[in-house]
Amino acid sequence: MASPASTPLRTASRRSAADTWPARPAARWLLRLALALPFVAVALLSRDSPWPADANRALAARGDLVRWGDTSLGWTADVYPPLSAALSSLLGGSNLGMSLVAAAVLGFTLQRLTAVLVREGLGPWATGAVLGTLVLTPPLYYLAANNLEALLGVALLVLALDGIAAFVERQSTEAGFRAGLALGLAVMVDPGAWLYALTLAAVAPFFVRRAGRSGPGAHTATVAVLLFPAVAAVLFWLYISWWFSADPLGGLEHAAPGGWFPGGVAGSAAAAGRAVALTLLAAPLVLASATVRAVRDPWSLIAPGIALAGLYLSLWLGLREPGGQTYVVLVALYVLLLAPRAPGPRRRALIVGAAVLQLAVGWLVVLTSGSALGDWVRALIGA
Amino acid sequence: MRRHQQDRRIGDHLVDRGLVTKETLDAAQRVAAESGAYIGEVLVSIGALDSESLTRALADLWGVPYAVPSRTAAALDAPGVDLGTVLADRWLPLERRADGVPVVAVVDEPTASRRAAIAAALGEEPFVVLADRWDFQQAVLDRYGSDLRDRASLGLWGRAPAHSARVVLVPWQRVALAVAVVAVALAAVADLRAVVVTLSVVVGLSFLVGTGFKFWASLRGARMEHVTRTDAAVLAALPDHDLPRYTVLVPVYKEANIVANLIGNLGALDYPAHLLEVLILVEEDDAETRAAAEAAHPPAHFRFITVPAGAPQTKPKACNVGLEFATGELLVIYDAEDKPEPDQLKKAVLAFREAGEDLVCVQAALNYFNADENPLTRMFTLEYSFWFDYMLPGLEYGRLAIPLGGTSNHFRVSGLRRLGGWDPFNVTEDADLGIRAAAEGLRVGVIDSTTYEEANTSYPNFVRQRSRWIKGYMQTTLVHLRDPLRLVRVAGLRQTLSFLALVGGTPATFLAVPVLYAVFLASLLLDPEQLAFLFPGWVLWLSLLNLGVGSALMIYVSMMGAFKRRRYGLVLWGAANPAYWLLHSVAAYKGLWQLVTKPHYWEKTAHGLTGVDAAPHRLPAVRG
Repeated sequence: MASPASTPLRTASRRSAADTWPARPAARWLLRLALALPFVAVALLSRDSPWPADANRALAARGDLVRWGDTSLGWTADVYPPLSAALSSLLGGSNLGMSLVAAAVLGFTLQRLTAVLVREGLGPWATGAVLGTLVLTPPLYYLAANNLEALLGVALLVLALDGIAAFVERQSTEAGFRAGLALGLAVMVDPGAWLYALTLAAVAPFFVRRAGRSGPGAHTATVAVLLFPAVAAVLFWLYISWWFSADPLGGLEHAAPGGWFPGGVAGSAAAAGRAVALTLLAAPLVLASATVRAVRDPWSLIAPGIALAGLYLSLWLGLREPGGQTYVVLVALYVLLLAPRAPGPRRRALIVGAAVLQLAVGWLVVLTSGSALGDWVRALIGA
Repeated sequence: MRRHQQDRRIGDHLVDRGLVTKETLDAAQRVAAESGAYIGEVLVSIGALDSESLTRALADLWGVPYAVPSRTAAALDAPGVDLGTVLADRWLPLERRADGVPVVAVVDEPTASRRAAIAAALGEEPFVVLADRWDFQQAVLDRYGSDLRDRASLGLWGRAPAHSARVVLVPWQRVALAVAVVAVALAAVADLRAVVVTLSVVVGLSFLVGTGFKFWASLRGARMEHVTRTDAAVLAALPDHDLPRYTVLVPVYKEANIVANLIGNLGALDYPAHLLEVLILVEEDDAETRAAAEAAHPPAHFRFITVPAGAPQTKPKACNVGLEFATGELLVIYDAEDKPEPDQLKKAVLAFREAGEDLVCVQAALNYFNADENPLTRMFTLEYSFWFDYMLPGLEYGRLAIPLGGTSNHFRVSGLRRLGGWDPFNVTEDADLGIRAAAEGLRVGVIDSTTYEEANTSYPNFVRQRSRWIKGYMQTTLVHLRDPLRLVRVAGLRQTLSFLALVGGTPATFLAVPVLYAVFLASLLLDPEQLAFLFPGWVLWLSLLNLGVGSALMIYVSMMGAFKRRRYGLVLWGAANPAYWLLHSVAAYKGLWQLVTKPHYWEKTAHGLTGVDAAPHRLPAVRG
């Protein structure tokens, strides 16, 4: 029996979550700060750049519609998704403010991704190399500096996918909880997030059994617990919009910045497919790993498939622009769902090699193509 | 004389008298040697002989007469010998012999030192007789019934009036309430609109704080999912001789229809019978339940204690009487219909051993064996699944005050006595005790074991039960807010705020529900302009947001709770929570009314209404 003077324990001692790394809070905060700093620097540099941050401007315009204290509330229908609009309103529509928020969010998101790589036992070199494909290439900086809404969506998607992976692999209902809440928040932040939710519902029957959930009603229950927050959030907002305005679907209709199916249904589908395929080609790390998985364990591609299908659908519908997002989502998918567990020295070397190749390809594409990403980099450095 | 020599002497004597066979004795002696128990206790617990025969044999061995104190007609007036002395020192003055010598009953060996102590207390040499322990208890109940009743009813009140719910409001609370009512009335006369707007915001925020806190605690509790609380190997290796004596209290009232079940349910506990005493607490006016229980032929370690009649006739008063007679180091409360998992007591033992002395109680999870019986039992199960599987572990994770559930609370007896036992005037004495523990700087934890109960199948019965629970939460809130500064000082600000959000927030939430629903309905039926006078846009928006977000959060945690229990068929029933809360609201307003009109009235919940059998294979366990 412990003496009264000794440190009393709980009936279960507090433990860190498996993905809490570094274990010491101070170290964790330092890492987040370090990971956020480059994005803060780019945000400050972008102040003087002539580049028009169209996505952030559109968000600022939506934020301007928010009238705090206004009793009529007729604007509610027009600000969907409301949380990103409210954030923009709180920031006064400032592009710099949005970029700094994006940097802070990235500090957390990248720390979590790093923790996942450490948890999976990739070792310091491979971890650094994989992380480098995100922080040493322009797409993530482009997103952070120009498209807060998409970045928040990606960050929440990372949380959701990480949750779904743990929900399936470790049969953790807590992770399912987390995934459901992240999706619920995502649909209130990012107009394309509900596509991820719908894709998730469509493929849920395929991973329910793998998640250790069997028996009558297991499929329906799994879909319900993963999607309830997203469905409830959208329905609630629709109700509020209906009540306070004559056009409850107005916000949803205006969610596509360049209109729905830009270039027509077929043209948009082809363009979205091309964008995803080209980005895959520019991401050998992801491509190689997905190929290996497809051969060895095709079922393990279900979760990445959810994200990829959601991404494709949102590009097709015109809910997001390809610039940067596709690449960032693919690398996040690699970290969360495709990276090998506890690879040996040879595989680690291969990972490092593929990551370096990806870095080179990434820069080559950016600097030689006439894409928005390349133009932004040139505008930023004043070339 | 050394212990094993004494045991051998007693054993040989029992064999000589033909009460047990040599083979039985040898087997019992092995158990006694391994467990550290007395040979007599082991023999009685395995049914080799009854308690009375053992006591008669011991009287013969120790050279004292055997007596039945409960049959003594006249009580000996012994100044200075009170109930406390009798219970603590285990001797009872019975009568005077014709020669004037006082006759005293003891239940342990009348050693020279014991005789001397008795003589010192009485001021004269006693004539010592040996009594059976259970008959001794009955004699104490007969002799000191009114004292016991007073101690059980008024003990806490006498010791610490501020902790007792005997008085609903202390003077300053009465003044504050009166001032608040007058202020609201005057404000309504001056500006009705402002008052309605303010009250709308207050109601909405109460709802959001109450539901938000539960959601936050549940999220934290979910993190504990993969924590192994009890190491299966350690549990399996726990030797009998390392186990403490355990008392099980089972308060019953008007439960003749189910009381026989408890013998089977508690008989399945994996704990050595000679270290276990099950005290069935039967009210004095409830002969029917006692007769039903006796007819079920309970084993030797099941005993009856008659709870002396008198107000308040409540479960906590019965438990306080039981606590007076408890001889265990640990103690647990079960209801008559409870079916605890067999290893629950051992898990509690390990939990107490691994924690510090400040851990005074551990709560096992409660769930229902008749979850699928009707919509009400489904909703009840959803609620309990999130409450016990997510929220209480979340409170423990944050070291916050845990309001205990009605049964399966395991206590350190020393800590429980230090806290003053249960408050018989509080109709949720369990929740109150958990908060009192926090308010005294002690701690309540949870263990990963489940007790299956019968969910309420009847709507009127449900409203009665809930009205008592919600009234009790109101009582508990008022009691612990009598000296808020002391509460903050001793328990800390976090504990105080969590107590307010949970115990105060729960009744507030249910009282707020009809108001928020009315606003919601009005928003469906009326135009914004028609509502604008009393509910300007932002107030309406806030109310709807509170209702929407608060409801969604609570629906979600209840769905997750059922999902964790692998009760997939219940998950979608989570969406029916808004209707379930309306039922709670009816109970909440009834509870509030009773708090004013009859604060200590115990709304009895009828049990045994289910048509479902608690077959073990049908009970889902929590898994990671």
